[in-house]
Amino acid sequence: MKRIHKIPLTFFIVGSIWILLSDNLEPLLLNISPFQVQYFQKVKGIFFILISTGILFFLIKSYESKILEEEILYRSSRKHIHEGYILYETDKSQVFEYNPTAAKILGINIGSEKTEMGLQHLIQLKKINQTIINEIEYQILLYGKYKFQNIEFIDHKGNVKLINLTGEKIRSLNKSNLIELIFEDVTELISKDKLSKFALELYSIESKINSEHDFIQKGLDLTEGMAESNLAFLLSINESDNSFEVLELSTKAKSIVNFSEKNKVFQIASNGGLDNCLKTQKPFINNNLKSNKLVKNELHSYFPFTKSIAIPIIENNKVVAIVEIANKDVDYGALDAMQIQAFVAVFWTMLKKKHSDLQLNYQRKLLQEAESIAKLGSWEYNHLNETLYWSEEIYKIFEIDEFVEPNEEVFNSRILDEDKVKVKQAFFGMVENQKQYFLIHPLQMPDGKIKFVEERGKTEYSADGKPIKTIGTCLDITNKQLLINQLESQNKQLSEIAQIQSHEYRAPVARILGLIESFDSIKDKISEEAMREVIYKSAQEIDNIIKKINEKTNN
Amino acid sequence: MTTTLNIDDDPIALFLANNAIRSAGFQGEIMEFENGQDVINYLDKITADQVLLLLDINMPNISGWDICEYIIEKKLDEKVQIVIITSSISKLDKIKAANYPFITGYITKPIHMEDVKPFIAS
Repeated sequence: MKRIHKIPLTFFIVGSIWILLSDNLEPLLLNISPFQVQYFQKVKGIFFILISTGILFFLIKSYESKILEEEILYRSSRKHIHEGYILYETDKSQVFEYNPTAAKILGINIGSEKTEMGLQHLIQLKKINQTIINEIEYQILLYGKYKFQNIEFIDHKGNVKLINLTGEKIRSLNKSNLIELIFEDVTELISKDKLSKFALELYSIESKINSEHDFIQKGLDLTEGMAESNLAFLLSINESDNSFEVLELSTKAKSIVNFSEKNKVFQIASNGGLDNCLKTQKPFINNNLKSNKLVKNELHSYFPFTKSIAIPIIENNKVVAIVEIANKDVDYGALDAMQIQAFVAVFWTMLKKKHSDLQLNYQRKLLQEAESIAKLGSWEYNHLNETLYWSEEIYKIFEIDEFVEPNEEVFNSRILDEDKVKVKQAFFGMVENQKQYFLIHPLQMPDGKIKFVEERGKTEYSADGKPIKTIGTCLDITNKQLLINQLESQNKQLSEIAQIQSHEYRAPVARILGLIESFDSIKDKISEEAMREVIYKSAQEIDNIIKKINEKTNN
Repeated sequence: MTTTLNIDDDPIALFLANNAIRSAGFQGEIMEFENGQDVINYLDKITADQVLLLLDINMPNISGWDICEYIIEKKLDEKVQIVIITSSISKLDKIKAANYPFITGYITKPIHMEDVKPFIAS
């Protein structure tokens, strides 16, 4: 028998006992004939009890069917909600009813034996922390209804999920201490497409940044453009001690918080946003911001906000920055920029990355330009895996398509056939002898053009003397080499002319001089005609030599 | 016994050198050669204790310097003395000549009797 059905039964029993006992009591109280009293009262009493019991039973039945109808309606509606739904009996620590979404969110097979499934079971499986369960039961006992945000839950695959859990005590005809638990998996819910226009703008901040200046300016634009009461910081984080450095402040922020150059570095209590964004690569909402105080360097400005959303900025599947907004009680899914009361932008690793990227890009560009101007390329040969790296300029010098992967074969394709062995031996010979590599050799381009390069290299060796890698340069000295060749050619010409002058030219001159100077001693030994002939031929010889010198000079 | 060789590819130069040597009073035999190969062939068979070479530098095929190297190669430098008689006025030739210990004289053409006298006397 249901508890509620005991009410009319109790009424009937008590009423009947009263009527039966009243036969002995009423004659004493009322001065009438016992027979009359007995007859009259019995008829009246039984009639009354019957009528009353009937009415009471009818009322209870109506009430019961109404409650049952409500419960059926309620439970059937819960079965199809997108949240996970569990009816949980706290006194028995077991699940009474659930919907498929609950099983899906919790990631466990609830099974047919309902008694095996309960929050205690979850605790045993270490799915939910015991203290959270205690808190849920305690809060529901106290207030009848309570909402928990962003509970960390580990599903059967070991994935960390974020769950919003609402617990409410419900009434039931058949069960006492029954609470309804609604699970909402917000891990996916706080996704990019669910964010407000403003949050999306923050998301797209990366694509609008082209330089460090853009980056800072964008942060300031976002904050300065907001309502008068907004507060904005542009921060970077020191990963070693989690301290923040204020890089830029909006005008309003400066007027609200007592920042100065001395107080640029401070620490802020972690609200889980950074860790969760890094872990899940998804936005993280914290609805329970509590005592976040800026506590370093005598800075004690209270941080009077209750909710925050941290949005990761992802680049190449890595979180490169996190933009975090702190606010009063707002729904971030529908957040409008004008609703923002406070704004804290934490541009995190990205800033440092941007700095280093920009610096690296600038240095790379400088190096490329310098290499291009100097016609100097750089290369690295890894002896362990026999791989080759070329800078952009090497591709230009070798006139090789930049998409071609550098290797020995590609390099050899530009070496003259007669130099191939020499160049290879020179390189590996110097590596083996642990000497610095230096070699000048020609290259032949596909169109037959010859270039000259000056190669230098230095090798790193392991402790046992094995070569690890050789880093080197390749200087295009074609112009210099052509000039050298030209100078050498001119030098050779000059040498030849000097040779002609000192030997060939002097020989006939000396002959003529000799004949004239020795004339007295030879006049009897050589005829005048012969002498004339010698002088004539010598003069002709001189003439030819002068023509030859003139021809060389003109060349 | 000293043998004197006069070597020059120019017959007029040979004639003038011979004339200068004779004018300086040299009475001995002078052998004349107009190319380096003949000189080398002769040196291969030489039996004299001392040899004086009056040597031109600039000759076709085998130059005066080649003959100097040959003398070193054949270890004849102990018995050979050379006087360079050349039309070259190049300093380099003079410097080069100074590096051969057995070259004892360097005469620039045209040759004169006074130039060869010291060598004849020695």
